[in-house]
Amino acid sequence: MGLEGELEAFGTRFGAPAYRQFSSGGAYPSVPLSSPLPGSTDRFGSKDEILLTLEKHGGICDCQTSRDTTMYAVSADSKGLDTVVGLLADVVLHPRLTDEEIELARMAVRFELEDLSMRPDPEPLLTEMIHEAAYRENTVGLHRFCPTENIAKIDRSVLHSYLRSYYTPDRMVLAGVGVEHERLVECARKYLLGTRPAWGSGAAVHVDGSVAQYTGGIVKLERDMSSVSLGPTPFPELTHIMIGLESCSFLEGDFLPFAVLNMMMGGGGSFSAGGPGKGMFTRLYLNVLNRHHWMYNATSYHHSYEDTGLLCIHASADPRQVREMVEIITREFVLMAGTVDVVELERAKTQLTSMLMMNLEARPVIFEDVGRQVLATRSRKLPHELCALIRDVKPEDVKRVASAMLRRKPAVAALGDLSDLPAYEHVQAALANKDGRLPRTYRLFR
Amino acid sequence: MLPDCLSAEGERRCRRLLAGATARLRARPAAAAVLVPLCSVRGVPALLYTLRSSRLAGRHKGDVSFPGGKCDPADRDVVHTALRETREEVGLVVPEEHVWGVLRPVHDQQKATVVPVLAGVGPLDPQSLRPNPDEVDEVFALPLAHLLQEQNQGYTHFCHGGHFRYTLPVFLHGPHRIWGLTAVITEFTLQLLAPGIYQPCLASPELPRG
Repeated sequence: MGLEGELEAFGTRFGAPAYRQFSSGGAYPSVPLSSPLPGSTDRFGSKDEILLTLEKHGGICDCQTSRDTTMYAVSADSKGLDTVVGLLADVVLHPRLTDEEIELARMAVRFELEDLSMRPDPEPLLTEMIHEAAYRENTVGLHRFCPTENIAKIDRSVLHSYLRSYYTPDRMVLAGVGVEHERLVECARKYLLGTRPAWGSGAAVHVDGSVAQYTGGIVKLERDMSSVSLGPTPFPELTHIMIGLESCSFLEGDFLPFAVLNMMMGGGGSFSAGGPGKGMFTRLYLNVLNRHHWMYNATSYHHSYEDTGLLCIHASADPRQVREMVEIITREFVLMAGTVDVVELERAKTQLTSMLMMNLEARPVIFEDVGRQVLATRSRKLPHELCALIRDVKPEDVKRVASAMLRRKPAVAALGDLSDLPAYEHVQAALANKDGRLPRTYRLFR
Repeated sequence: MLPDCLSAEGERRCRRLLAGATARLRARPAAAAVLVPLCSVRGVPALLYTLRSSRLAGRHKGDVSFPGGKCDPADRDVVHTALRETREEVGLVVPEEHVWGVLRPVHDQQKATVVPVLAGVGPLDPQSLRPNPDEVDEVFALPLAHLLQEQNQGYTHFCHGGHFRYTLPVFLHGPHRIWGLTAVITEFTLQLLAPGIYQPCLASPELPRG
């Protein structure tokens, strides 16, 4: 796509705690907002007009909602800065939210929910479940996807009420990459300063400033996974479990040791092509997938938010081997607090650094990084600063954060045939045990 | 300005305010009792907390709480339970005369009653205590001044079935986060000791549940 001038990305990011309590809870107000984007606004009569305007500057736009932020992004030619900021301001502050658009959004949400329950990849569903288990009934534990019963209840006034409370200047950041600061500020003044948003400037409904409280717990979903394949090729029947523990927020000093720990655990699917930088020497590959060929998947994830974080491991295997699988994962967790080999740590640090630098080569990623950091900390750590901090992580740091993490109650999510799943108390005991073993149970009939 | 709750005048006031509840609730059977130890650490009024051992089985492992535990049939009343448990867990002997009174009971998830007992334990050095390692990993004190600062106070709304149910306070930026029932009991204590200074977080329509 040959373009003149510089390509850049800019947009607004909101620290709208989309996951927090808002009438029926959940991130659903944001989902309809993101779906019709670009919907019609006061200045642009329809979605097509917006796209046509952007096309003149070779631009593309996107809107994404995650648990703690909503992002409206545009990538376009730098000559179109003025038009694009105006467009963004309009989309964010003056959406018309016609009944037709809301109805289309509702349909999109319904489709997304159906898709979620049908697809063979359990990842998004498991992520929801582990959050629900870890943060029982509060903040991040509330459903990100709108529950079916609530879709019909969302209308313009509900959306406006949400926007009034959460789309406020103190929760917004306008970020730009590849554009001069002064020019961006000028455009911001022109389009964002002093405008009255479409939902009026009435008093905000109580803004939920809840602190995320990690509770730990278990969420189970029994489901027949014997025929999840959508095509003619059969998919093996698997039970999926995810075990998580509270880590720390990205604002704390311990965040980087956790990130390095997460890299060190690594993992992925057992049917993986591998390759340099893939993590073939990470613990979950070396100790789990390479040794136990019946495990289909063992992957480590680290979710981190402004006031809390969650480190979890996802594993899948045949339903008859769930108990063994759980024990393997609890062993891996316990070993995190054991000795950390220096070579292993250096490899993980290098992998993290290179992943960071590779991702930051793309402007949209830089933009997201700038927006997120400024939103959370009102400042930005530059990539080389982060690399220096990563280099400073020592084996003692990893051991310390892992030991602190293991004291807390675990969060467990399980999906599929759960007849062989150990009780939550046994998982808890295994994590407190120094070799990670589940308590022995004696069974007469196997 | 933090009232001098460690003074004799402060103590009399608290005892007077708690007298009614204490008389009513002392002998009433409850599932568990905890001691809220108001101590003076290097001259600064503070509350003493424990970090429950991660080796404990059960729902409260690794949690921050006040010293305390289940009521035993051999205990005379809830005050006796709180004092006994404190002695067993933390190695701190609190004479019964130092108990100021009984605070409002709280209910945990299983609807079991937990009765907080407030006692003034005087000057104390948390480092000198020898907690029982099977039950308690760490003992620490949080100054009242810290708890009363707004930036250290937070709250969390809890939902169930898609509806808002209740709000619980949370106290931040200490060595460990104080949440759940312990935070609720802390709130009751602060309301008693520093009325007007401490703004309780939004009240819930139902009794606070852990």
